[in-house]
Formats: sequence, structure tokens, C-alpha cells
Amino acid sequence: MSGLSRILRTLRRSTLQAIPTAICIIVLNFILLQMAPGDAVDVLAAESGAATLEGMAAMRERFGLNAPVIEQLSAYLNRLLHLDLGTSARFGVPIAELIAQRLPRTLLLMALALGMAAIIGVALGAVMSSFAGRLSDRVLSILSLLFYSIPNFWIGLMLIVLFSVKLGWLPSGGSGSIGMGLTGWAALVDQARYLVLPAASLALYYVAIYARLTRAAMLEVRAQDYVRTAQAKGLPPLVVNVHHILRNALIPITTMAGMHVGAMLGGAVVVETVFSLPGLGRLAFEAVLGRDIQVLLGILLLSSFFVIVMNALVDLLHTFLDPKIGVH
Amino acid sequence: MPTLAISRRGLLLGSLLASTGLATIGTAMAQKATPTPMHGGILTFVLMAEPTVGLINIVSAGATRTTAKTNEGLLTYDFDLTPRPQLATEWDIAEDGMTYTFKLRPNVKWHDGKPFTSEDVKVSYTLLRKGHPRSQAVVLNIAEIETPDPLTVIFRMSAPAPYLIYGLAAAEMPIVPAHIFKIGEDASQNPAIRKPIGTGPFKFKEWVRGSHIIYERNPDYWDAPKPYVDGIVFRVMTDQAARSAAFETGEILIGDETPVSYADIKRLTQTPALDVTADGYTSRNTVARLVFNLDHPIFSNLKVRQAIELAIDKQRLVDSAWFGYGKVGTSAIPSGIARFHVPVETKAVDLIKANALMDEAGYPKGADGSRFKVNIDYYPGFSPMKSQAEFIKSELAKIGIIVNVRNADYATYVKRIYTDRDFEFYTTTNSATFDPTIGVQRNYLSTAFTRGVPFSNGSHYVSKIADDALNAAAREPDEKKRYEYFDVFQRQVAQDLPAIALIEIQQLTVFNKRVHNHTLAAEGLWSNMADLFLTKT
Repeated sequence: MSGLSRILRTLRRSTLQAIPTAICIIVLNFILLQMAPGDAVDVLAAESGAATLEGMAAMRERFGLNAPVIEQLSAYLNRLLHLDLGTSARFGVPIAELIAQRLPRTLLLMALALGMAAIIGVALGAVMSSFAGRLSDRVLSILSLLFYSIPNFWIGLMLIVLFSVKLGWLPSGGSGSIGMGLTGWAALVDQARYLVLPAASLALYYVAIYARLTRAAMLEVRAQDYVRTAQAKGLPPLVVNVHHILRNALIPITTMAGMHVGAMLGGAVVVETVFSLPGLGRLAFEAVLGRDIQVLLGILLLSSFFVIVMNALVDLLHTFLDPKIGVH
Repeated sequence: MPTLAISRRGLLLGSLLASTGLATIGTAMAQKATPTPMHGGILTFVLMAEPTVGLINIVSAGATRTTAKTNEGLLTYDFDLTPRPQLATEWDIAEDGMTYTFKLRPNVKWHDGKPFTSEDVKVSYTLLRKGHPRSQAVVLNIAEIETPDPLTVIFRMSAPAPYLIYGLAAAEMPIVPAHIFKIGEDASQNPAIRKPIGTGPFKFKEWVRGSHIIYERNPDYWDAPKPYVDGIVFRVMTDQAARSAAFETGEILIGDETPVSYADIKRLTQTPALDVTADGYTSRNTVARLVFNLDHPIFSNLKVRQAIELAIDKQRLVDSAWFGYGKVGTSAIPSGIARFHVPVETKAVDLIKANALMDEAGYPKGADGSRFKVNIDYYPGFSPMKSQAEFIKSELAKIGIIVNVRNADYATYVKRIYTDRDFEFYTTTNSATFDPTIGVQRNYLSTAFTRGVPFSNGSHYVSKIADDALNAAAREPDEKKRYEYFDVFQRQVAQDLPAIALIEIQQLTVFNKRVHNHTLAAEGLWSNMADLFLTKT
């Protein structure tokens, strides 16, 4: 089977599985969110500090919250078919616009954090497995355990205290210098400065996971016959380690990384809050608190697509890493 | 004006515990001369929550910090609520309180160049009266708005509204342009509430949702050479600890309503760059109350409520949960509304009497020393409220009441209490505002018991005496007579105890010492900030 047709078959299968998955996700989410006590109007009225019954009724009417649940659901699905995510009750703007504003930053944050975590984690894991049982392995093991157990909001705050408050090297929060009118390279550097700390605090937890995972997988692969053969052929240790051991050990790591993309969106809520980043995670969190259900549904829909796409990509990556893994 | 600010600061801070160190800082500040205003710089102002519907409070109330910078009001107020001119230069109230005449400021232009006239006031007040959740109550008695000429506005009242003249500040009563807003339209859908056009010292430039709002200096402002700063950047920061850090790094220069944890205040004021003030909250008067569900079989019993009143040590509550930033509550009308406040709830803690009352009420102690178990709910929007609920739990354990603190998010709390009424007692914060008829009456008037409406009469208190007193005070133009009505009301509430006044919360504005003239009016940071200026250090 040629590489291209394998890739196409993988893609087709993923797409076919994605559609019913997405519909289930929408309906389930919708029903779950209906169970949360209170609605967007309750929160808006409470935030105003005062309200009238008539005013609240008028708002409910406008947002379509008065209709029976089943009617709301069918209206929502109908709108989705027309590629319309609806309008936010809370912000009064189209949800697609809200999400489009927030999405790039969250994706950038996740990509940076995941990239950072994967590179550092795999490197540490490789070092640990090469020196298994020795002092450097022990020290790195303890460090990774530490990173694994510290909550990332705390790491975030500590990084702020050290690098922003004490040393003054990096900004404590936000998404870029406001009103400087930066362009080109300067703008990029500026953005990067604001992303270093949040990406680092999001990444540290995953560094620990990848390091442990790489260590275990590499130790397992190291015991395989073909590794002994490679060593017997007289290949340099670095080649054996990278081509024969690490490449085969990457399968469990890429699988986990694919799953972590979804989980990271959850971690991003905390990090985005601590660093005042206007990302999707915070929008989702505020939508929950504000009972802005349509916004939340939009985000959940998008994230589920995102996870499905990532899984497909991981499948593809696997077929590349290990040709034995094909389409069954 | 600065002299008034200082004396007011001294007064308010004097009431704080000396141990907080605030009083000494206040005096040090007072002795230093204010530098002359200079142009330039950008003010960064922290927002703890982002405005929702729009940036001006014409049909919603979530934008109190942004509104006045672009859209001004008829009046502004001294710290003691003496009205001062803003867009109105003169005003006259008829003897019977049934006619208000305002002379408007001439030669004022909207940001788009059109002239400001009486028609703008008419459209704005009509919209406010129809849709503003909070200010509606203030302007409800305006029956007709007349505009005899472009610079005169006359309000004809359906009944006297003695509070009206104190409630015309921009943050709650902004004036919007009549050439953009129309009477009868759904103003929440008008794009101009998200890109405001006003007469104010600052112009809207940019709003990036979730991140920031940028206002820039209005070079054609009527009160030249003001404003002094080149612009204001409102930064949305929802995390309390992150706000503390941003104050320390200087990324944030100012924020109001205690933007950092009370536990951090002492540390922050010890840094050379930062300071706090308790000024600028005269028209807010935030209080914390413990409210009983009078429909609940246990709490409908007056003796139980009396016992609870005797068991809670309010001073210790202030010192622990609120880190000393507050005053013991002594009445339904807080002492901040000094004109009408009568301290009637001042009983000392008496556990023996409290226990005796509980026995009399028919709830004897069981074998394990407890009488009954109840849930307490707390308003989740302000961090000390949870510690306060925990404090009440430990106090009531002393008289055998086992309290379970229920955690909930905002929507759950509101629905549980005001819609489902599935609760026993709860703590809440309320802004008593500048007048009891606006800020206090809604919590006690029997007709204000409205299921589904947040911050209404949550206890379901019904008292003919309190109702009559409140209704009479609402339409009595004579201040002495109003005081008498409110006196009756406060005594009745202290007797019936539908709720206990726990504390009067001390709100603090945290600011970088580079920022000057930020708090010159009763509105505090809700003012238009035309006078504010920045120095280099």
C-alpha cells in the first residue's frame, strides 16, 4: 500500500468517525448544561446589583431562554447546520467572532507548551534511561516528580514573583504591549515575551510526564533483540539511541501527546487566568460562570473537532513512525 | 478640593484599626504637597471583571468604571454628596419637589463634532428610566421631560423623589447622544454602547474582549487643558494574585473596590511605589448582611434570630475575615448614609442569654450538645465572604447550632435564594448606595419580595410599620421628616431581625504614587478622571 493512499484512508476513517462523535458531543453538552442551576439572565441581573421582573423576562425572551429545552436544542442544531454558532447572551456579539479572537492565542500557547514539554521531556527521559539507576537519573526523577505534583497555577504565580516582580525581566500578564503599535519582528518578540512564562508553567507538568514515559519506553526498547543486534553491528551509541531506541519509544509518547491536547485546554483555563491572557480557556470558564451556554457549546464543539483532528494527526504520525501500524 | 479630600481621608481612616498601618500612611500623604498637574502618560486601570453588554451604563450596569470617561452626567459630587456641576451648570428644585430645572453647559461637543443639547438629556433619561436595572429606581418618578430650549431641561415629577438630586452622576446616569440613540429602541443592540460616543475627556479607541479597552485623550474637551493623561488602558485581570503582582511591577497603576486581597494590602503599602485610600465610596456604602429565610420553620421563630444576633461577635468578624477593613454593622441603614443612620443593633455578645433564648424557642440541646443543623449560603463574588461564613459557623457552634457552609457559584447562589428559595440563611453584600430609598428599601419592603429577582427582599420580610415608613420616606421632600420615617423603619427592623447588619465593608482603592488627583469626587474612580495626572516617579 502506498504512503499516500494509507494517509487518505486514515483521514477518511477519521472523518467518518468524527461526525457522529461531534453530534453526540453537542447533544450531550446541551443537556448537561441545561442541568446547571440558573441562567445567563440570572447572572446578568445579579451582576447589575438590581433588576426588575419585567426586565429579566424581556431578556429571557430575547435570548430564547423561555422556550422548552427541546425547542432550544432543535433551534441550536438548525443554526449549526447553517454554520451559525449564535450570539452571546452575555456579550451581545456573534460567538464565532468571540472564538476567532481568542483561538489563535490559545493555540499558540498550547503549541508552545506542548513543544516545550515534548522536547525537554524526551531529552530528559533519554538522559534518564541512559543513566538508569545512577545519580543523574535519581535527581531528574525527583525533579520530574516535583513538577508533576505542583499545581500549575502555583508555578505560574511563583514564576511571576521571580521573573516579573523580583527580577523584572518579563511581564507579569497580558498578551502583548498595549498601544505600542509594534509591527513585524518587534511585535513577534513582544508577543513571545508575554508567552514565555505561561507556556513554561503549562509545560512543566507535561515535561514530567514525558520524561517518565520516555524513560520507561526507552528502557523497554533497550532490552529488545534488534537493539542488541544494532550494538553488535558496531553502530555508535548515539545512532543506536536515536534511531533504534528513541524512534520506537516515541509511539507511546505521541499517543499521550495527542490526548494531552484536549487536557491542555483545561490547564489553559488556569494559566490564562493567572496570566490574564485573553484565551479560549478563560472564555470557556467565564461562559460557565455566566451561564452563557451558547458560547460554551461553541467552544466545546470547536474543541471536540480539535481533539478529533489531533487524533487523526497522531494516527498519521504513527503510520510514519512505525510502518507496521496501518489501517485495519 | 484637595483639603477636603485629606480631611475626609483622615476621618475614614481614623475609624480603621491603627494596627493596619493605614492611618500613618494617610497622614504622611497628606503632608506632602500635591505637584502641579502635567500632561502626558497612559493610565493603566485594572478591571476585575470585564464589562458585558457594553462600555456605558445606559441599559446595563456592568460598566461603572468605563462609563464616565466617555459619557458624562448632569452632576458630580463632593465627598459629602454636595452636587457639583458637570454637564448641568445650574439646577433648581421646586419647593414641592415636583419640578427640576437644569441649565446645561454651552459649547459642549460630542466626540463626533455635533453639539450637545437638551434633546440628548431627554433621550438619555428616557432610556435610563425604561431599561437601566439599577438607576431605574432613581428616575422612576420622572413623568415628563421638557426641553424648552437647547440648554434647558425640565423634569416634571409624578411624585417627589428626594434622592434624585444625589443620583445623577455619570457612572449610573450617563448622557448619550440623541443623534445615535433613539427613544423606544432596544439600546442594548445599538453598536454605540460598545463604541461609545460622548462628551467626556476620553474617546473610545479599541476594545479587545478579554484583554483590554483603550481610551484616548479627547483634545477638544470642553474643560481644557484637561484631561492630562494621553489615554487610559483598562486591563482585564480576573485573578486576584495576578493583580497584586501587576501592581508591584507597575504594569497596573490603579484599581478600586479592593482589587487585591485584604491580606496583601499591608505588604503592598509597605512598598515605596504603592498606597491605598478609602475615599471615593460615599455613594456606594457596601455592607454585608446575614439574611434569614422567614419562610423556614426554624428561622421564622424570632427567638432563634435573636439568639443568633447575640452569638455573633461582629468586631471579631471584622478583625478576622475582613482583616480589620470595615466597621461593625449597627443598622439596616449603614453609617455611611449619615443623614439617616440610627445605630439600633448594638447588642453585646451574650452566649448565656442566647442559649436561654434557644431553649425558650423550643430547640433544646441534644445529647451531643447540638440543637439543629442548617445550611448557610454565601455570596461568592467577594473573597472574604467565604471566611465570613466559616466564622459564623464557628460562632453558632457555641450555642449548639451546627452550620454547614454551602459552596456555590454565582448563578447557583442567585437561583437557590431568589428563585427556588431553597435555603435557610445566607450572607450577602449590598450596596446601600447614597439613599435608603434606592439601596436599602428593596431588601425590606414587602412589595419588593419578588421571586426570581436577585437582591430583592430575600428574607420575605413583611411588616406594615416598616412598609409605611419606607413608602412615606420615599416621597417626603423634607429631610427632617424623612429622618423620622427612617428612624421608625430602622427600629422596626432591629426588633424583627429579618436580617442582621454584620459589617460595613471598607472598600479600598489601590494606586501607584505616580497617579495624582484620582479620587476627587464621591464617585471615586467611577468619575470622568479629567483631573487625573501622572508624574514620572
